[in-house]
Amino acid sequence: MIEIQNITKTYGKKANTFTALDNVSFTVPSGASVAIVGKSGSGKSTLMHIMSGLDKPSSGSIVVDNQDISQLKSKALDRFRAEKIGFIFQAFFVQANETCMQNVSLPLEIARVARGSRKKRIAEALNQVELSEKAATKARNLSGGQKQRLAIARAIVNKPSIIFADEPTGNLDSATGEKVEKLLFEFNKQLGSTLVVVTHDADLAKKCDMQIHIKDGSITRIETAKKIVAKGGAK
Amino acid sequence: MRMLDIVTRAGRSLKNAKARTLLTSLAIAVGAFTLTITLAAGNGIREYTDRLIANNFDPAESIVGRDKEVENTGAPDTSPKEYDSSVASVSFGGGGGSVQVKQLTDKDVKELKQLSFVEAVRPNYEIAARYITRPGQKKYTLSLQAYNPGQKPETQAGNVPESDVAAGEVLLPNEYVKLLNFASAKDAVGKIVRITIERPFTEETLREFVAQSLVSPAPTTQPKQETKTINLKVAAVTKKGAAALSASGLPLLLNADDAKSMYDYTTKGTNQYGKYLYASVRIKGGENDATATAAKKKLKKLDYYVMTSQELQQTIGQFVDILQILVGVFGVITVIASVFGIINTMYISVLERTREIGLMKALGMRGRSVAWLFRLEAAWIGMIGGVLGALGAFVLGVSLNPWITKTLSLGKGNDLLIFDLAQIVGLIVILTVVAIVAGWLPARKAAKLDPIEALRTE
Repeated sequence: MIEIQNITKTYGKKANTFTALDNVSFTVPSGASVAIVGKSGSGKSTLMHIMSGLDKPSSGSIVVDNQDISQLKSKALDRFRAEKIGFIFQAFFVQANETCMQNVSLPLEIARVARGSRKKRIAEALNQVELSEKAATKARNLSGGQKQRLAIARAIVNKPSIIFADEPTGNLDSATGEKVEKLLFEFNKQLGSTLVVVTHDADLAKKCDMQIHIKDGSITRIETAKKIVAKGGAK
Repeated sequence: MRMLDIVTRAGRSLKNAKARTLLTSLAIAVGAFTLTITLAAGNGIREYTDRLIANNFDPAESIVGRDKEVENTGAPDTSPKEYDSSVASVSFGGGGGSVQVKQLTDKDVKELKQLSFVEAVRPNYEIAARYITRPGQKKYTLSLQAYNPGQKPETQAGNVPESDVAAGEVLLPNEYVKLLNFASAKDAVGKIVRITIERPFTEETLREFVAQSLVSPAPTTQPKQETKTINLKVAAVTKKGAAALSASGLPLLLNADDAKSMYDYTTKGTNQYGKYLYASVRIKGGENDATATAAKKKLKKLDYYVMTSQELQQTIGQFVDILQILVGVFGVITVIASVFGIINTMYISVLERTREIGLMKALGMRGRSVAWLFRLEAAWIGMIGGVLGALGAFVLGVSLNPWITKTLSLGKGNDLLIFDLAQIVGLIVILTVVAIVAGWLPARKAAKLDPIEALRTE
């Protein structure tokens, strides 16, 4: 469960203060899929950064699995991200010079997973995104869709409890985009990890259990699919 | 992240930028090359001088004199000093300079011989001989010296004596074999050579000559120059060893008493008579540094000036050190220049990989690990450069050694460049550390990168 309580984020000082997020609060049940929807500059990326522990709020708290991550020191926060969070970006950010295997290995290395058990987990993750045959291929030789699937493999390899996807289909054509979306929702259901998608794509947002609409740093509307209310209520 | 993973990743990213890595390494390699050669040359020269000293100096022997120049290893002191009859003028250098030196007298030699810690005293006889010849042959110039057992020459024929040449015998340098028309060096051994020395004009003969020339403007009788011819048996034919210190030719070597009587003959009536620039004094147990120093202290109390064999070695060693430092400085300068190359390369690497660093930090990699990733990348560059430079120096040195030995006539089996594996490994380690230090600032920049800024796509 992610509980966002009265998050405010301001930049600059005194007269030049800019408020990116203004007293935002909501709760995401574990295992749900959430879309943060808004135009560019609305504050949705800032919200994602704060939820994932990349950035710190000016005030308010983020409680993830009963732990207030806004209070964590940088070392603990790095560890939190390494162990609990998976990231998927619009621009993929896969290492072109490295093979698929080496790309997927990175989160395991950062989380200090022993060498012996890495190989199996990498193979498993690559298999799940159907890139097993490309394991030894350099990432630069992959197509856009394959790159994003590789990024997904990298995000799920360490079995995170939350996956953040920042415009995951933004750089893909609709057919490949759909395939990537399908994969993301599959893992959300299969692995039970919470999926947080930042997007301005209404179609993608509709497929999520929960839609948080954000404008000028404030939540304008939260839409919840019926099933999640039932699910959330049951918990 | 574990160190092993960081090392692997650092190596991998270097492999992806091969040209850049290699070029930056080459700068370090030039420094490593120079330093390896310098170290090797230092080893070689030191070994060579050690051999020189072992072949030319008796470690138990000290040089003892009455003038402080004995202890002076720098430029001679030419300022005026108080006169007494033992002062002689000694020329030095090529510029016609001379220094006034207080000499040892026979009395001093006697005193030295009586000291309890002194084993033997060998005054330095500078014998002005006229010529050497043998019946039916031409006359040739020569230089004569008393035999020094600590300075054994190599023999071509016959036997070099252990302690001193027998009275009436001589060690003949091999150059004279052909000049004096011996069939071979072997043939010369046991044969007689003739050495002619002359007595200087005495005050008396000179006065007579001057008185005569006052009476008649064209004197009929030349002042008589007294000469003496000595027959000496060739005990052995010597040749100059590869480790001989003297740049000039080998002198004929004589028995000490023979040398003294010749010296006395050639100096009689002059103020050089019974005076010596210095004497070589063998100290009992003087191979030991402490014993030699203690003996020196005692001699200094008796107003002698002393340079022990150890001090002489140090003086030569110092000269080698200075030479090595001079060359080493060039190597160090090259390394310093290459440090800037590494800094530059690492900054470019950090800039190029802003995204990658951002991603790694977003995924929870510690800033410290990121910094080490770049420091180790720099370390790889330093190590590759060090290995390349040292290897290049080694290959070049080993292949050039025979030629250098021949050109400088160091003697067979003497190498100028002696490579020491431990030194080379040490050098590579130092260069690696230097590279890590060079990578420090760029690595810090990488570590401090804000992942949000780094991953912003615009």
